[in-house]
Amino acid sequence: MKLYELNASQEVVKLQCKYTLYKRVINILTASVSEKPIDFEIMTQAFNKILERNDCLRLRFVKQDKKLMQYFLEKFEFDNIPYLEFTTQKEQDKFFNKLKKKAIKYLKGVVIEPYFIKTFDGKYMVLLKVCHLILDIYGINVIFKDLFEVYNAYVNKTELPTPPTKFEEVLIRDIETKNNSDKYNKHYEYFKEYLESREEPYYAGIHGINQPLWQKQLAKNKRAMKMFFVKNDTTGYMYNIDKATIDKVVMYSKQSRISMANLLFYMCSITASKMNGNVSNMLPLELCNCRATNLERKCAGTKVQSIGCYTVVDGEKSFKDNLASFVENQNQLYRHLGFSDQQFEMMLHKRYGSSMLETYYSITFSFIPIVNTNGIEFNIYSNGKGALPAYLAMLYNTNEGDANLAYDVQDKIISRDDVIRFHKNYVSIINQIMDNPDILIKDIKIN
Amino acid sequence: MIENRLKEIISDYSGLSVGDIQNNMSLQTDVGLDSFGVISLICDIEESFGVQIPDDDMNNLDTLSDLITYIERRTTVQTMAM
Repeated sequence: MKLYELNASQEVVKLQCKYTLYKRVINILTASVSEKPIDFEIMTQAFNKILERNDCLRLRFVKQDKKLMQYFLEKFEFDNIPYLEFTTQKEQDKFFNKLKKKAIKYLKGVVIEPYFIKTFDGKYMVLLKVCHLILDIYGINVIFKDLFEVYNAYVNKTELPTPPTKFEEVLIRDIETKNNSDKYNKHYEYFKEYLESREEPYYAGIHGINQPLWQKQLAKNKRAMKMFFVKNDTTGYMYNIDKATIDKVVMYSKQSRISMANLLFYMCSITASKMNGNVSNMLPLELCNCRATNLERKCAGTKVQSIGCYTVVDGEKSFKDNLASFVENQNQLYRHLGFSDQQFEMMLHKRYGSSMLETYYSITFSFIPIVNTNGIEFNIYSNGKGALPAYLAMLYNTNEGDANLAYDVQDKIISRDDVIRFHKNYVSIINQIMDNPDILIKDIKIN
Repeated sequence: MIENRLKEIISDYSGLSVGDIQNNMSLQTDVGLDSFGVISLICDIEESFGVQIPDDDMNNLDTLSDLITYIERRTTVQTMAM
């Protein structure tokens, strides 16, 4: 049994688990839902097959000399996957709420809990509660894709598709990169200069400038928002962005050779800026899936890393001109993704004289292309606790061409109405910009 | 030599065999790399050939042909500077 240390991404997850009262990010709850009936007996066989095909699902964790280490089990199967039927939404929600609040016991050998569900509204669901140490959101999509492809192969008696890439191969390279001290020193020097050459950013919440707790911070001349450790309940919402709007982004991405992820991220920041009195410099957090090669993109596992993206929104310039500067900044940041999140945050607070109990990260953004088998819908559920004000996951449905934006927001500072208002403004801004990329930022309208 | 080495690097990123990589392939459209993938590829190329590729130059490097021409020019300039 070969023991491996954690990669950089897993180390961040482990820290979040260790230093929170509520084990907030350790659980990820997602589901694939079908209107067509699923044969759950065949699905059980398919599930056991993907345990064989995806080695990250066979990861187990152990402490050695007080250090968390991991190894791959040779073989693992589920004898029985729980099957549940719900007749009311209240009943179903009660089950989900109970499930998400209980931390997954990864030190006791439990890293994935699957459930088969007949939903209250007659649909067929495969629900997964997974430990973030073995899978990130991108990896979960790889798993669901593999699961339904294997299931369909069994149902149609066709050949199984090529398995996803082994996580062990990727993990070995990740660990080598993490331990490369020459590169790490270069990252440190880069971020030192990065922070020293930029003035303190402003928190720009999706709740807008009038949020009372934020107003209190502004009155104290603060630029960062208080974080809530003890009571940090979150609620999840999901709102659609129609195909026509997304098509415009796809077209512009092809013409400009700037990724959809970058375009949508920057336009999200513009929305936050406009809703906060035209803030000109912010620090949203990007979650990058860090899968550089095509083989890595076919790998589940946990690889995502976060980067604080100092974002300038200059009202006197056009979207195009602003975007060019943003992309230049992004390219440099991608070169230095190997740097420790924790160390970056310490440097950030030291540089600007803010408290570690405050945050500039009003938005955490990730872009996930969802490759769904036809007729299967992918859902992500809030795990009910979050250290950061708002996590936005852009789920781009590559088959249907639209997108769903999943919001996981802190209840104490962000209401449902805030989310709805932000979302409407965001969609409107995407359309205003895509219809005229030369528009000056100050001329963009919001409600 | 430059072309072969570049094809080896692109093969690692694309999953294609070296023989299947065409000079007119676009890194984004044909090889299918996203922004992070392109930056990682550029970093590997920089390390492999001992050159620095600034952002402005990177924006004009779309195909393998572009890369070959660029690296040939940069390595010639470096040799002359020595």
